[in-house]
Amino acid sequence: MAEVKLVGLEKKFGDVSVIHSINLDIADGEFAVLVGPSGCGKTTTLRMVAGLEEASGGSILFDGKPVKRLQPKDRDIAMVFQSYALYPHMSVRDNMAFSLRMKGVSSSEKKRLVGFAAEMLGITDLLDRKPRQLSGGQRQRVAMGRALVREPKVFLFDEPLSNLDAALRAQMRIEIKRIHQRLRTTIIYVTHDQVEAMTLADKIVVMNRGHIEQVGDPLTLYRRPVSRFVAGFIGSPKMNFFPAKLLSDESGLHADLGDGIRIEMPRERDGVYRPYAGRSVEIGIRPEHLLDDNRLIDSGAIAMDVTIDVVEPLGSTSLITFVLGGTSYTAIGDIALMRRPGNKVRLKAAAKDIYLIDPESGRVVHPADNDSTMIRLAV
Amino acid sequence: MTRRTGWQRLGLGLAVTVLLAFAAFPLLWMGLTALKPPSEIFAWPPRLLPEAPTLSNIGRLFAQTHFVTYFKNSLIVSTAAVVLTLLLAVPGAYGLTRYRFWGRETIAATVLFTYMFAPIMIIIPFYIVMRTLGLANTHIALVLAYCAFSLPFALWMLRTFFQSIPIDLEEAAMTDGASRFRAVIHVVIPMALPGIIATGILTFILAWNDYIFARILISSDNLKTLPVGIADLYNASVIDWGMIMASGLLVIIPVVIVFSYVQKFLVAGWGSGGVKG
Repeated sequence: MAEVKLVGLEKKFGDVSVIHSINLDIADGEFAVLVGPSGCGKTTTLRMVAGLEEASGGSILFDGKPVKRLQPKDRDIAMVFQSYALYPHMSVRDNMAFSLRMKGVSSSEKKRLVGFAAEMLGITDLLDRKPRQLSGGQRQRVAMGRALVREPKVFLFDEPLSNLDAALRAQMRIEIKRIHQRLRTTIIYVTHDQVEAMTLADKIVVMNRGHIEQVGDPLTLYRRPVSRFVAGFIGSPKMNFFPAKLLSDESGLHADLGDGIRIEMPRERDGVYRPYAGRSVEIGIRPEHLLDDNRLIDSGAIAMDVTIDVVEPLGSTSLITFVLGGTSYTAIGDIALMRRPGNKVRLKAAAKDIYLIDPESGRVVHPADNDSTMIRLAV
Repeated sequence: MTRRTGWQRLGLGLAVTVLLAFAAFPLLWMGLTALKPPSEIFAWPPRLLPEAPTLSNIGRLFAQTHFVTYFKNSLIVSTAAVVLTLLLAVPGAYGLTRYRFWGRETIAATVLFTYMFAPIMIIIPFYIVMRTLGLANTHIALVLAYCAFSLPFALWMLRTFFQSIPIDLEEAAMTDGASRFRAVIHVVIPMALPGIIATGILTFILAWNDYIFARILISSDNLKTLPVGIADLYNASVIDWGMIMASGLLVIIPVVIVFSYVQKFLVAGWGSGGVKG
């Protein structure tokens, strides 16, 4: 197990800079997930940690020791690849024992370690098969088994579940989490799937265009995203961003969304929002907080009257799509209300669930930590 | 696919038979002549099957000529050419596939350009180089010549094989604790084996069948390879056709054996190398 530190890490391909001096601390035993859209640099970062890609600048420290100049074989890591990368000419047993063979481990010890990992992953009966005789899910398990056997300082996962179907992916997610809970080895996990990131991570690192946008635990990222990018990336369905004008009158601050829709801003946030009065802003509301529900939310609730465009029933709830100013937005509906396209409905949201975004900087304007709406959240 | 009619099938069968006869009949005639006594070889009308089959032609070949020496020389030179070619081509093709360096694509693309030159154009300069190095009339010169001649094709063919091996596998081996060298030995080479065998065979056949390099580079009788040695049988005052046919038969036997043994590798190799998966 090891603590991993990236300090000013950079990567350039020729003149093109793809990772711009990133800093990151991953504690010993922590499960860190690098997440972001394709091309954001997450896999390149992981490959630099693995030693498969040479860093152009900065340093990588394992337990305080620089490893940048070490070959992958000397870094004491294990990696699970997106393609699984099982050696096709070897049996599952030989695949799993490969790293032990490279280390010169005795055959009795090899047998013990392979047996232990195979049992942990439920693949003991597959040990004599060749990779081509395995299903996608089984291959995935063998790839993980191969990494487990190595007992490395750091596990690196490069989108390991992206080739599996949804049901299998959910199952493997639980298994990965279980393995981490059992072994407590430091894990760096790359994915573009924010659901994977939210469910697995102790720490999520959101990357965008070679920069780290935000680092934090899943709930912090969900509740207090620093930027429009993070707010839009974390959470499913995606957060709604309403272009608006922040106006001030005798009753306080309110956002004018056009079409006669007016959202009162919570009084507690008056101080932080005041500098934006009279300016164009964006109002962010997550679909799961924008409800078509007859129940009362709270005294600070805001409401908007819209016409339903599309209804997608999900079973317990339904997704409601509506259009404002030519843009589609999403809300969650109560399935019992039996909404139909064309129905006029009143959507409600609690005042605490509203985000104000400065469209120029893309930053989310957050109230201070002692803000009463946030305290309510934390309970 | 539509089913062929009876006429089409007959036509196809006929065409195959004609082609087969055209290609295989000389070989058959050679084999059967090798087993005929001299009197039958020139009998008129000619007979296909020997009336009194005999091994005397083969016996004379061993007793009166240096056939065994030529055979041994051919085997040594061809095997050495295969080993040397593969020793150079495998790392070379790997480098051309995996390392990024200036001129890589140009080298890979122009490597086959060397086949634009007929061997006869290269042989005299090559002979002069060998003579200067004091290697003329040695097996080393022959091995170097075969290696030089088969290397471009070997590089080109092996490169295709290496390209078809996903780089993830090598990287997995490296994160599993293997050095690049060990990753190549344990993962890349076993996967490229069909291609390596196919390349080795083609080199072997090129060296085994070569006449022109051996004719010019070798002058001592005890260093001659089979093609030159057999050709010299024609120079005797009386041409012993039975013996020449017997030698022809014995020359192709090793090639046939090697081919039938490694055929499956060859087909797998050509198939998997050609299609990038």
